[in-house]
Amino acid sequence: MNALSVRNWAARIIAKETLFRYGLILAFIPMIALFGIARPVFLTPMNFLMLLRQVVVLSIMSLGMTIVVIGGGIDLSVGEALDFGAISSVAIMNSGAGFLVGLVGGLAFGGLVGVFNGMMIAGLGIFPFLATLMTIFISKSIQFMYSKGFQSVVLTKDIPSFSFLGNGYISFMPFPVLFLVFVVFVFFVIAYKTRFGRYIVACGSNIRAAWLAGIPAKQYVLLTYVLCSVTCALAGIVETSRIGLATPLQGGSYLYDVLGAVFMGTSISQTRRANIFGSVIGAIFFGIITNGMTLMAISPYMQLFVKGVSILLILAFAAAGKKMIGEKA
Amino acid sequence: MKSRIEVLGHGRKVVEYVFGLFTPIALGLSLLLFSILAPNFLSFANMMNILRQVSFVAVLSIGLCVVMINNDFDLSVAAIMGLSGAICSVMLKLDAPVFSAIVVSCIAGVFLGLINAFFTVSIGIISILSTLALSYMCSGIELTLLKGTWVPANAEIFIFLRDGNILGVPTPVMLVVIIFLVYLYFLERTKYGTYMYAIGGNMQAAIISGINVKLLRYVSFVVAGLSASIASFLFIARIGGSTPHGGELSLMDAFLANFVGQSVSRQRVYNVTGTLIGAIFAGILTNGFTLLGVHAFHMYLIKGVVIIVIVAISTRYKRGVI
Amino acid sequence: MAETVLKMTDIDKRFPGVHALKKAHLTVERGEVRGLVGENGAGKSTLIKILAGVESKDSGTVEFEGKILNNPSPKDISDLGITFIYQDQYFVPYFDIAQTLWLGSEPCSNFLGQINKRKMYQTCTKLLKETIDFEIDPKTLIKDLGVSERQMIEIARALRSKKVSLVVFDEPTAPLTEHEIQILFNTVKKLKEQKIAVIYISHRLEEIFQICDKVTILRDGENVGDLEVSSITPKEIVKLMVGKTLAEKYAKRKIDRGKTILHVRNLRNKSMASAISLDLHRGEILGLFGLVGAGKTELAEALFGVDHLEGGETIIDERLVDIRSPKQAIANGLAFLPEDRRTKGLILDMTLGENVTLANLKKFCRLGLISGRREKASASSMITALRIKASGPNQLTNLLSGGNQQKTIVARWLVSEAQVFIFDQPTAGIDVGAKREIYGLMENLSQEGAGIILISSELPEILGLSDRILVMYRGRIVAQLDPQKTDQHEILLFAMGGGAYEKSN
Repeated sequence: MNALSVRNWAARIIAKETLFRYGLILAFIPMIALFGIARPVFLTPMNFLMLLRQVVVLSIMSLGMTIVVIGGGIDLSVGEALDFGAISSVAIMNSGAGFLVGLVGGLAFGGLVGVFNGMMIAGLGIFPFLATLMTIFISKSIQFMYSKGFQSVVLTKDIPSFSFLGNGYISFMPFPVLFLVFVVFVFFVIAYKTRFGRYIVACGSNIRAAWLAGIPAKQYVLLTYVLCSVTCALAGIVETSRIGLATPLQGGSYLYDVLGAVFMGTSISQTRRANIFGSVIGAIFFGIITNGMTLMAISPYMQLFVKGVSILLILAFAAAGKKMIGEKA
Repeated sequence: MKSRIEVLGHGRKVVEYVFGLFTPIALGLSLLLFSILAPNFLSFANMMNILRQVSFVAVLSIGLCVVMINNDFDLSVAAIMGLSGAICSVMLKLDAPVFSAIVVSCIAGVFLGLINAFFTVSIGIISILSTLALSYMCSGIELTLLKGTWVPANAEIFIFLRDGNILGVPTPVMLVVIIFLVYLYFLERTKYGTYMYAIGGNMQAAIISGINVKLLRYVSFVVAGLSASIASFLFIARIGGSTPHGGELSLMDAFLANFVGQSVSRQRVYNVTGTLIGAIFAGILTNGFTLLGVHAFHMYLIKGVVIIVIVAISTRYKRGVI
Repeated sequence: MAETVLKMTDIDKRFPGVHALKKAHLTVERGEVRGLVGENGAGKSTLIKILAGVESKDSGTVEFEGKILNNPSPKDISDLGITFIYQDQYFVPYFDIAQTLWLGSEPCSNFLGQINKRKMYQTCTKLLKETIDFEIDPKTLIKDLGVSERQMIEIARALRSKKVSLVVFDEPTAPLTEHEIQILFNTVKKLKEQKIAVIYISHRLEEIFQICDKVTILRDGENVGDLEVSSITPKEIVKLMVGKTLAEKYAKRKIDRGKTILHVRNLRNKSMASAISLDLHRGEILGLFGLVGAGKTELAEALFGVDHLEGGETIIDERLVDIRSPKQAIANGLAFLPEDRRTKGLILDMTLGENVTLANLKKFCRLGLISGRREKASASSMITALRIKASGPNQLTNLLSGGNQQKTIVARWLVSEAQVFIFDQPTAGIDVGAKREIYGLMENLSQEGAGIILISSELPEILGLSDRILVMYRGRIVAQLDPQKTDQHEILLFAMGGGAYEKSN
């Protein structure tokens, strides 16, 4: 046994593990094939574009959640930030201010949710799970009072730039999709190429060591929650721009999918941590499943079941891969 | 002359000490408050009412506690409860004998617990994720079974479970007490309970000591699943049947009960006694606010905020920062 | 009549990319204390893990008391009467002593597994007294015990079963003081008397020579020596371990002391027992010696801004500074290398390059974005300069050996251009070769004008490296000694509270 053959042997094992890691992506192939055979309309460009649209909101939210999870926390209130952003932007625009003010205002209100989360978690030391849960309660209460029983807020003014956001096209591509690509790119840069990104990875990995290395951990953790909520508010604005009204309680339904997307995405990373690429893949995965199953007229309830099963299988696949090279999942 | 920093330091020590006692203080305060503000609060009938209302959450929380002691999470207990209840209700609707319906529901709980255990322990997926996935699956099946509507569960036994008394004590309370005592015995007095605490405290230590960690973790998930099934009987007895998304909110209650329970123990560990107290505390808040005429929705909010604040503060000041 | 208790032959084991054991062997006889030495990565821990049933071997035989073992599980191993005392302690922090002692073999009252608590506590007290002569309330929680007390509990636990025939000690003295080490040796001698075989793994040559009968030396997965301790010298052992000669262990230093770089007065935080003042000069290595619980790490952390300050002043280069967080400390040129480098020093999930630049990331940013090229260049030059054994800046720090991990942390502080370095037990768990390299690093740093505080509980290290020695006892500085004029005994005396001399503030 010489050095060369040892290296080959090691390389083959690592390649196999990589194969397992990318199980999520590989799963796309049979999935697309399955849906394509069952409902050929699935494979049409028209459906494909509609699929991408549906995926946009989920993806943007997942990006925000990914940042929080990278930083070591979790944010259950992502749906609330979405609602805040949506409702406040519509309300602002209804009052006569233009698109830009509405946009900035919506993002700001959404950001408030994150500030609140951050203060509880970083400032008071409350567990993220509990703190963001509390935020859901409080936010729903505020929405209840504001919208007098959860009525939708309709956009009464006609603002072309706003509706372009959701309905516009650049050549044949729907604008939201291009926007998503842009946002994904921005998040890639933020997470992997900025000091902020590096610091939050450190915090998420070992907050004590990060702090001892001079990172003001609490501040950065707070920032992750703010960034997440702003991002979700953005998603809410994008969604609202498509249909012209903002519905309270809408955001909550996304929570499970976002969690699923982000955590399924961890299967791709070598260190089993949340990552931008994985989350986007996860979001698209969920989008495809939802789209395909809807085409097949599967009830939303069974869709839930299938989503659960697929999360389990993808994660199991990745975990099995880890075990092959002797690491704990 | 003490410097400013020194004075602040002393104050901090006092604050820490006081906050360590926060949970018992909060409990006492709220009891006091309610008894002053709501005339009927402290009546025996009302107390019994609270206990009845809280029974299914208590069973659910105690089952979850076993998993928490092992340092795992089980996000599927409420979903298992819902599914189990749905199975029972639907079987009754199809004229199955009551006994079979109950047995099958229990088997379902055990089976789902086994799936959780399999994916978490044998495959190696983190418990939060695997149980989350299972909860989706359970919700999906439950909603399909119920076809999105209410399914009544008409059977003598459920009426008994809801309104009856055993030896003067309300049935659900008795059931909770029995279950509580059984779990308490196994966790606090037998070596298996000690082993579970060991797994939760330092898994390596447990392995080194020759403890069958895999088996015990399996057991914990199965126990949680079975407890969810038992809780489902109490639940459908209370509301008379199964409703879509019925028990979903109970998941948060169960976790909160456990977190409160942890904050009550001196060693900061999960324990059934504390969890039971937590469940009852949640019930007290609910009941008290209802008597005060607080809108159901606001109650949900306030209860959540109060409990979380208690847990957060008492946890933080017992553990220390960063 | 000597009887072979354990015989491991031709043990071979590979991991991905590493041939950990190459036909290694280990034999121990009844009543013998067999030392097992080797540098980090030589294969000692792998061999022991295979013995423990935690790791599986690729080939070879393991024979215990004449019987060949076939892929035993940890439970099988402990049933056979083999116990292990590890470096990492496997304790459940919220258990009490009795629970810890009897974990896995509790005295039960009935078939349901109900624990007989009274019996458990009684036998616990008895066991502690008989085996290690230790008296303590069995209801004390583990988390309230000090490190050496925990170790004694661990030893007692190992001896709880009557039929123990082999005890393996893995670096048992790392957290112990001199006095506690002697207690440990007495316990080992007691084991010998009872004809129990002992395997003693240690980096400390003095101990090997004091307590072992024979020693097995591993290097790069192979046996390079199985010798009587009486027939070999420490120098020869080290030579076999390292494979090359080493110069005299600790050469005396000759450094010019510069101005005062750090001066603290009445520094105090909530973990410290009393206020401390001290000075550090440029180019100086200030040794800080103390036994467990003396307060050395607390002082270091206070200097670095960990925990809330309750009082005192810090003056750097004659400027009064406010250090209330590690970030501020770093901004003022301080560097802290914690004792626990894996959990408090490195970010194990990140690469070497990322760890190295972490404390001074701003330097590598251009227009807000991190320049990967500059980062890699800096990390590569550190790898070369410090001779870190790694595949490159992209190596995950998780996989580095202890010595290389320590060097990575040093690299980080070099990149941050620190002027005051606080080393807390820098060479714990590091092999001889790497130790020398770290000493060399420290000397270079001081030659370039940095001030170094060296916290250590290894007397030869402190004596050999320091320009000045401060001794701490119970949270106070009780002595300031000149290494040229003092000796191990005097230092230890002060460290145990024997000196009447107190450093005046």
